[in-house]
Amino acid sequence: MSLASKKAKYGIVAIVIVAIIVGIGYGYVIPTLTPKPAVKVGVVWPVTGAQALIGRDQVNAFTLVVDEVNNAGGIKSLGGSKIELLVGDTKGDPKTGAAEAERLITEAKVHVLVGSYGSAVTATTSEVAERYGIPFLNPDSTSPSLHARGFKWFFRTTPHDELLVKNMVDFVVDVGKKEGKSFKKIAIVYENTLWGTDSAKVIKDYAPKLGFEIVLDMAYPANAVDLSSEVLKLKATPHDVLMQASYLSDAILFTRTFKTQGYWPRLWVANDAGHIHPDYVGTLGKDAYFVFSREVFCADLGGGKDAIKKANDAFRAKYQKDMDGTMARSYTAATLLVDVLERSGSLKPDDIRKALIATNWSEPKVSMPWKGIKFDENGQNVLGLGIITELIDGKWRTIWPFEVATTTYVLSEKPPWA
Amino acid sequence: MAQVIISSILLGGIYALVAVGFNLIYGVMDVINCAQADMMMIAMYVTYWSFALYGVHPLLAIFINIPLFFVAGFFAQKLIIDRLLGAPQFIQAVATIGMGYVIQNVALLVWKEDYRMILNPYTDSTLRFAGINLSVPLLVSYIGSLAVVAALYVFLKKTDLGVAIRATSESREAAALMGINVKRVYAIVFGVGVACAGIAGVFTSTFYYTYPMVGTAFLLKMFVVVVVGGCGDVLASVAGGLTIGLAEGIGAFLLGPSWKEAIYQSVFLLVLALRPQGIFGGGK
Repeated sequence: MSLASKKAKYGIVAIVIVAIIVGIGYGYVIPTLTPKPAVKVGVVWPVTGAQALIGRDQVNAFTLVVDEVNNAGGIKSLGGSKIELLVGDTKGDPKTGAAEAERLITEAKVHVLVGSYGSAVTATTSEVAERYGIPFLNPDSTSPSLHARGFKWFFRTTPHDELLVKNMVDFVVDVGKKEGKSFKKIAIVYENTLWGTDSAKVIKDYAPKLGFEIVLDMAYPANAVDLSSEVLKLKATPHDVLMQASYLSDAILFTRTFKTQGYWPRLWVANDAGHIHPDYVGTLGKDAYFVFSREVFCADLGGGKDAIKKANDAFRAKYQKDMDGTMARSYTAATLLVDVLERSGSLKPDDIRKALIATNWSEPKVSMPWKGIKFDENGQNVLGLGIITELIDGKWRTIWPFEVATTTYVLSEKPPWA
Repeated sequence: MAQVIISSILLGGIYALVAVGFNLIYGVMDVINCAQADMMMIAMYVTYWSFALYGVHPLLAIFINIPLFFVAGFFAQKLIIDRLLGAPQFIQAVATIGMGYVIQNVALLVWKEDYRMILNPYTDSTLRFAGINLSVPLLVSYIGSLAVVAALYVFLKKTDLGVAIRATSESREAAALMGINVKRVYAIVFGVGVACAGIAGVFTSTFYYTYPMVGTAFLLKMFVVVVVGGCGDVLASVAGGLTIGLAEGIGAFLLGPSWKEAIYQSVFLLVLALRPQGIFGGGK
């Protein structure tokens, strides 16, 4: 070995040793220089497994707000404490979710928990938080049973299914008024598992109170091979409004059969799920147009509200795509949490809980199409609101509530295939 | 009501088409091919992709599918089914269910869980007369299904190979003693049965959407149709298909769709109780 190369070798070793020493020193010294302990926020979402894409988007949306706050000097009332985000992976499974929630609380010592998308998972993760007395913020699960448990530490910002389904009926009332037409007879068609029957029950309880008559109450077996007799039954029963709750496959087949059998309702309001799935319009093309669907969010909403536009622009700049309802709700929860921490000025669970209870957000602050955020005694946000969207020219557009609508609805008397 | 009956008959024809290949395989080989519906799913994808990528009219995909699925069935018999012939039916069923799962999951891996539908003027067309609406692809599928059954019937009755197949179906040993190459007959029967799934896939994809789990929507119906019509009898598949189609369609219309499954399962139980060999079954 030549002298020059030997020298070079020692040089490299020296650099590595110095780098290690500096690195270790940096690791030890810097944290002790930080003025205040970080606020530890645990988010429990499905970041691997079948729902991983959704879970990661939620973490991304949440991170966006956290980074913004940290870069702007952290939580001021806590002396500039930074927010540290700790991610727990539920894999979309209630048991795994509970174990992760437990780990974050007992080992990572988080101050707040946020999660967990699927209602069944949220049920277990929030139970763990309840047991340890840690505030749990739920941006995104819609099963009505969740806030009915009388939990002390559970706070849900999203409107739940019952409210969202009632919006379908409210929408029909508003359109009737605006059009000066009478839509009194409702036919409800729904898949016969828990979701379909539950949402049908809400309509059956609520619509008659507003003067509607349920003329057809039709449950059908999900994943049908053929839906001719269902559609013929619809044709044989005179009605003004069709309200439908179907998953994707049945939604596609129903619309196909509508076309074959020459059926078209005067007013057709779908209940989310199958009808708003991208494959619905992807599969049916133009035949899918003019269906109304209840929704929680729509990409075009930024056109009608500044807070949503700001959120979406920031998200788009960082992740090169538009937010959907799940991400937007995650983002909203993060902005709320920052405000709550500012107001509590303490990291004690009780103080954070008090700040959550005291929340009273007005409409312009929320980056969702809601009237605001205010929790009832069960921790349910009572100012949440769904929207109604319509498939116009291949794009979902927000058309109700009229205050946040981005375009006027089209009430087509003829089917799109006519 | 006329519309309900006609729609139900068309539906029955589809059930018959899906079941006929399964019934042939069972009739001759005594093998319950639980992967039949998943093979149909692959056929639907072949039809879809020939249309989507190369613009092949969905009905013309029959000429791709018949040879393709015959060959696939022929070799599947040689490689897998042949080893199971002596085994208890339970083992065979588990093995073919396993095949079905593999097929489903490969489809899931390759094509994702997206729903795909062939949209062109043909799949969109509807005939209207005397107040009755007939979906053209459904009508053509119905006619196609009857044609397939008729062709199979003639093939089994009139050709030498058909006679050999029927002989094998009656007694494997006797047929072997008469100089029939039983293994070859089995491979051909399995090939023909799978080719039937290939044809069923072509027709089904013209009025139904394609996705990896589509087979499961048809599998249970297939079993019921075969048992109601008569196990192992090709013509009986038509009787079974029509019975179930009509029971389901008319029952759903009169009593409500929630009763659909209950109605056809009741018909199934009734047939089992009164005529366990099936409506047309010869008591094999």
